Amino acid sequence: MRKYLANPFRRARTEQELDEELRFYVETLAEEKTRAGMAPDEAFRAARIQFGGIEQVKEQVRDVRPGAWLAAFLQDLRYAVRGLWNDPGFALVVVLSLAIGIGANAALFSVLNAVLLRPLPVAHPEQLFALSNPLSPNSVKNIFSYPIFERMRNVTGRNGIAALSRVANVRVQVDGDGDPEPRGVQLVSGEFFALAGLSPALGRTIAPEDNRRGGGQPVAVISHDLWQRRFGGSADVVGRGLTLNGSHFMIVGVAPPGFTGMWLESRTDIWIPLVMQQAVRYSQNFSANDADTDKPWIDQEGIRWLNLVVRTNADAVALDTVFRQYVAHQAETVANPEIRRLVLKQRLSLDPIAQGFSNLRRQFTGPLFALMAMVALVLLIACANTANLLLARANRRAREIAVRLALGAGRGRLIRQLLTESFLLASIAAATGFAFSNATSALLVRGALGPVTGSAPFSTSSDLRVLGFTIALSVLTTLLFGLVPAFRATRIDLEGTLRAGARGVRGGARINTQKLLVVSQMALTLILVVTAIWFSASLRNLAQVRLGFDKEHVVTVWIDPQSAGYPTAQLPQLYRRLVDSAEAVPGVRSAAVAACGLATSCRDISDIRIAGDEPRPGEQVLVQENRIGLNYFSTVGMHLLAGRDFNGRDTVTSRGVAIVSEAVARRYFPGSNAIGRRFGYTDKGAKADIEIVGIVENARVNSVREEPPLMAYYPIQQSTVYGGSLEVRVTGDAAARMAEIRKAVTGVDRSLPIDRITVLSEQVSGNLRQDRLIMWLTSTFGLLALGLGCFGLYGVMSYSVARRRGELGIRLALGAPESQLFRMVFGESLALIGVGLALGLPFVFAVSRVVSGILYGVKVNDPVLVGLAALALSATAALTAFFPARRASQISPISALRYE
Amino acid sequence: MELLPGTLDLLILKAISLERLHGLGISRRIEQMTRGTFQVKPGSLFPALHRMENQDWLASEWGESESNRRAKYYRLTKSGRRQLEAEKVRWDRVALAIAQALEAS
Repeated sequence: MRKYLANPFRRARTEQELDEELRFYVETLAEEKTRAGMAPDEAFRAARIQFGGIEQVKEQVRDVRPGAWLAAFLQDLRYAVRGLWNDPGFALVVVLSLAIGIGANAALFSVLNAVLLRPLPVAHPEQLFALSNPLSPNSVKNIFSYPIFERMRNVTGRNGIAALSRVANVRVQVDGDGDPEPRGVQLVSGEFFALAGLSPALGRTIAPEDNRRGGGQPVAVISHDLWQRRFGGSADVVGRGLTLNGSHFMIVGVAPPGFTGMWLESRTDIWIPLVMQQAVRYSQNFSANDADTDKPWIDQEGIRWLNLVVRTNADAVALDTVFRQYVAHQAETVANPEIRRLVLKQRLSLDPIAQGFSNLRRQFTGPLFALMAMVALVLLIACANTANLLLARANRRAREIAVRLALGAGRGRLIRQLLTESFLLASIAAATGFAFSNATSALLVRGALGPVTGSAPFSTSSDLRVLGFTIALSVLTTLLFGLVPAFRATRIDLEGTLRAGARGVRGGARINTQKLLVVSQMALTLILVVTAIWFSASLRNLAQVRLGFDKEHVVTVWIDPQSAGYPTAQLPQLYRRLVDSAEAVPGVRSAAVAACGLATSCRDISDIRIAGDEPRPGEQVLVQENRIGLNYFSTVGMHLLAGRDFNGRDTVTSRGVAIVSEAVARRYFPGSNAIGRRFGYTDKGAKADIEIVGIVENARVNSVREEPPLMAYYPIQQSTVYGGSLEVRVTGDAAARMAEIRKAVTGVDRSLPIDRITVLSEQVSGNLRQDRLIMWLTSTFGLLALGLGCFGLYGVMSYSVARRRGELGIRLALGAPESQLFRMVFGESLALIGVGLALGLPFVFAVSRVVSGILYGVKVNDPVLVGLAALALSATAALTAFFPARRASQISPISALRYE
Repeated sequence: MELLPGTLDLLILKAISLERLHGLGISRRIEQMTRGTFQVKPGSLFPALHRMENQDWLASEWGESESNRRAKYYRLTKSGRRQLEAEKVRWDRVALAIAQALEAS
């Protein structure tokens, strides 16, 4: 090793010795010849000829030295640095355009890495699997009840299987310490930490003894992150107390550093035992059938709410047996033989969860890959640009390269040297881009998810994979933009170049390569410009979509009486006081409570049975539900189409009533009047005793992007459901009323927390956050590509005009009108643009398949949009091509010819 | 005549097996040993010498030449001598095999 390192630094002496050794050879030969009677200088000349090129031999000796590559590399590097230093404009343009290209790629890759690739920081994440029942509907296929989990645990033994709830956003009050803060809380079975191979950083984790029912196990494990930030990492955190939704817990330990939970998008800060479900009033992402959700869930077979996690070494046969017994039991209660057959077909399967659970992953994958492809194109365009600049630069250096070749430099060595320069450029660009990506990837995630209350969005911090990607990218780009120019530059007609004088004029093949590069840039740019236009059109369509409610004049207040610990009996009184105090605010026309707010992910779907309607086997009549207070429809601006609205006479003791959306009436009561018809739930023993009293217009209650669902609305006063939002209709500027509305709501009960207060239009616009982000990104990429592409065209045409200066001068001297020269050069540019567009078109159709799924209401084969893009591109490019063409027509024949 | 591939190392090792020689001496000695059949050009000789020195088959030292000038002399090391033996054996086998192949009918 010392030899390798020492070599480059002891070079001077080694070089001197080599020189002496070779000189001795030559001079001894010469002496012999002199002694034989030759004239001394003649003898010396003959000896040198006999020896061959001394410099070449030296070069060959240097190549066999240990660490020769290192020495050569360092030499090349020094040379490259010097070369770029002398051409700062070139270096700046190249580094900047590549840095943008590499940085954008690295930033998107960090997001892609975080969403799709990064494994959980647990032991052997690749061995972790979640149980699922693929024949179940999507929303419930991987959730199971606690009793079935217990039976599976009995057959797999300790640490064979673990159960987890979803991550709930809970207000957490640390004992004697400030205000409550929202935190991600997950309920886990005692086996979870051991199964995941997570050992505590401090204290203990949730353990099997915490599975004990009754009496409760009020223990909590906190994340390393929370420990550091909230408790300053102090060791006496063990034993301190927390209050979650009114229940008191004791911290028993700290999870290992870096572990932020099993859900990608829900950072978890606190883990508590599953048996504490009722104590913390955990109630989300469940499916209940024949069950009482107010009683403890761990005792009920009918409530499915747990993700079950196993390792590859789990006893799959035993698990399957338990599942089949459960299925068989389920089938017994089904009378219809065809449905029973369907029920019996259910099987257990294993889904890999090495990257953790996520609902976002599916939603993000398509856009991520589409954007990734787009930034790859931007980088390709930047590479083409750089290659063009390098070719032009090589042309300026043609004479220098010819001299070096003539003096005995090997072509391979010269190529290596030129590639070193390219690599240096790419490395500086990659380092800049990498630094830039760290900042932007976090911004991207925040832009896509919006302001998050409670748990922070997942981290996109760079890991080795992102670093490796960036390094691989810089090597790849080096080869992409550097290889062709390096080979071209060293393939030189030596004599011609040297004789032609200071200017390298022989560049016929090179200019063709440059034109080819410009054509491909135009083709790639077209793809990106078209995509940008598609996404802009998509966003415009989304912004114009008919919602079915009035988003401008409604303020939504998100409330959480459940967390505040309201008993259900007090709810009607709370709702009345909330509505009264909101309506007392000047400028407020009406107010109404609802279980689910508009344009949120809050949704409750039930399987109903319509009286007098026998469903086909396996058919489910699914409707989405919302429970609403009086005057809800007029408050949010939905129009009642038929029948009546709910009124004060619809109470707990009166008949159950419902208002359905137009879509329900059309679908299930075609050609007849839905009003007066009855329906009920499919649960055993449930009667069809809910009467439809009204029909309301369809509305996109879930999201702007989602078609209006089949809706059934019930009066909230006929149930014990907790309200989630208070809708307030105002006159005039809604935003201006928010402060007063907040004051009024807080005035009702100081202990009732307001999660959020927004104008509905803002909430709706939040639905389009990802679409807007994608639109901005694709537009940016499109503009960037356009800029780079036009820059490339401008460069090549300017260079072409400069090169043909003499020829153009002669034409002028021979009487060609200036306009003809202008037309000649301009026409050539137009031809390049045209060929580029023609070549890009098939690619546009290839890309259209990838993105059509993400677009809203945009026909990707619409010739108008593609034509618009082509027009925008050719207009901009033609404008840039105007300048070199004008320069061509303004050449003075005398100076041009004199120059030659 | 061009050297056969792989034979240069053997010839160099053989050339200095008796006494230390400088570069020119080695090339002369090879010419003499092969009765003028092979002439080693400096472009092959010097890279080979430096390479073999790095492989520790040769050691070099500066000494006085016949013409009283400073010259770089090469001599065999122990591992060089072993290498010479190994190369000899290998060459004998190659030569024998080629001869047999040519005689085969």
